[in-house]
Amino acid sequence: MSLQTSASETKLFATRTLILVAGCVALNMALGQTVSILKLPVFLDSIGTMLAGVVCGPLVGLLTGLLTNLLWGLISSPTAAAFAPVAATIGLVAGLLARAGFFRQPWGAAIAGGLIAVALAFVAVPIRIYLFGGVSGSGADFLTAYLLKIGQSLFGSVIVTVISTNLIDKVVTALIVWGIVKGLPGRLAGDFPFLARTKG
Amino acid sequence: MLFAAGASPFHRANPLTKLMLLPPVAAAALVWPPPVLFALAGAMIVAACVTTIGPVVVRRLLFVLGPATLGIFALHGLLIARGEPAAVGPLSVYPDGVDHAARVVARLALLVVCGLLIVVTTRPADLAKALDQAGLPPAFSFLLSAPLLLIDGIAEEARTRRDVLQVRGLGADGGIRARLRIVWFAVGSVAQVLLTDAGSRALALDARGFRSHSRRAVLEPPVDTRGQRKLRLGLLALTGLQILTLVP
Repeated sequence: MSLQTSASETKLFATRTLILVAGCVALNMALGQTVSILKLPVFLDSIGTMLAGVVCGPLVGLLTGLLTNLLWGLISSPTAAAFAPVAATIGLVAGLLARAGFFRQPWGAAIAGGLIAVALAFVAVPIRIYLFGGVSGSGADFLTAYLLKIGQSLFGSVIVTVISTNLIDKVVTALIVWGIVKGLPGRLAGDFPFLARTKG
Repeated sequence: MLFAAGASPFHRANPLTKLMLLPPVAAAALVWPPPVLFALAGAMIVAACVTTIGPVVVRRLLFVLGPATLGIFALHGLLIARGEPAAVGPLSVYPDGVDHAARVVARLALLVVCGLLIVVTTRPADLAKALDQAGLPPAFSFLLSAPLLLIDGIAEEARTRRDVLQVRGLGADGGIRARLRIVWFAVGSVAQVLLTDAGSRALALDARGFRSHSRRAVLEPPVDTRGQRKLRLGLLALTGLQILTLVP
């Protein structure tokens, strides 16, 4: 078998990219327990998705997010699969913002986290309203109920709830991703050329 | 994982056949009224209970649907003004809202029960084998199975680093900033190792001929009969027929 670089190494989904996707999906799924024991007011369940988007680009980020929720749906919670488009949006937008240079500085990463929280809300809200009637079965429903009571529409109430509950988490996640990428060796851009957009 | 071992017809069915239940069920959720959806969900629960997976399915269904059902009825029956309210004791209930809530809950119940039937009777590894058997490129089954193999190792590594950091004085009782720093150091180092190792792991995989062929043989493929292949086509046709009823 030839040991020369194969065509698979230059494709968008080269073998090393597949391995990175698998690792980032596992990161998303594995960190939940670590974080919950520390009793932090964040989920950090999309670190791997954002990381994949920043390191390999928007399409890889999209795939990582999609796969995370589909696998979650397959092993523990069928309803997680319904929100796969939301997770895909996180990866896609993270990749697009990385391309625009948002992850070069911490303040840019924080802004990116905010923009991702807003973008995912526009995908999550129709799913939540159609499938779950606007509720999530969590404490955030009290905010939705309050907003409805003061005269907001269902769509407006749910979108404010989704953005509020995701804003801090996505900003913190984006800052952690910035920190991870900052600590990576520059030579890694040889394996993942898209990384050069962030590392310069 | 929700998988429960067993020898029921659901367990023995090919994973692709089970996955093909989803399109007609999703189409039914769009087309049929709540009583039909509740009846379909009930039939699936009865089928699950007749086999060995009934308790797992029912428990999980209650866990998922319980809080959501209460929230949906409260939101749509009490808070969102739809038509004329009716007095029920001290509460003003909107009958149109209750109808809408019933439709949402029926749809959700059907989709969740169908999803649980698949999830509780299908190992991800068997699904990966079925995808290989169907001729999909090896990358598909790799992406399905590799993350599941990595999860435990990554979780253990993150826990170990978190504990080491706490032993070295980075306590979790120092407020949110201290706990975020623990996450930063623990998670960050695990993620960096994943990224830096990806290249060498890729070389090892390619050296073993990972993608040298467009499809790969399966040593112990899941059983797939002609009847199941016809059933899958039938389910696809049923999906199409139901969707056609939506066309005016």
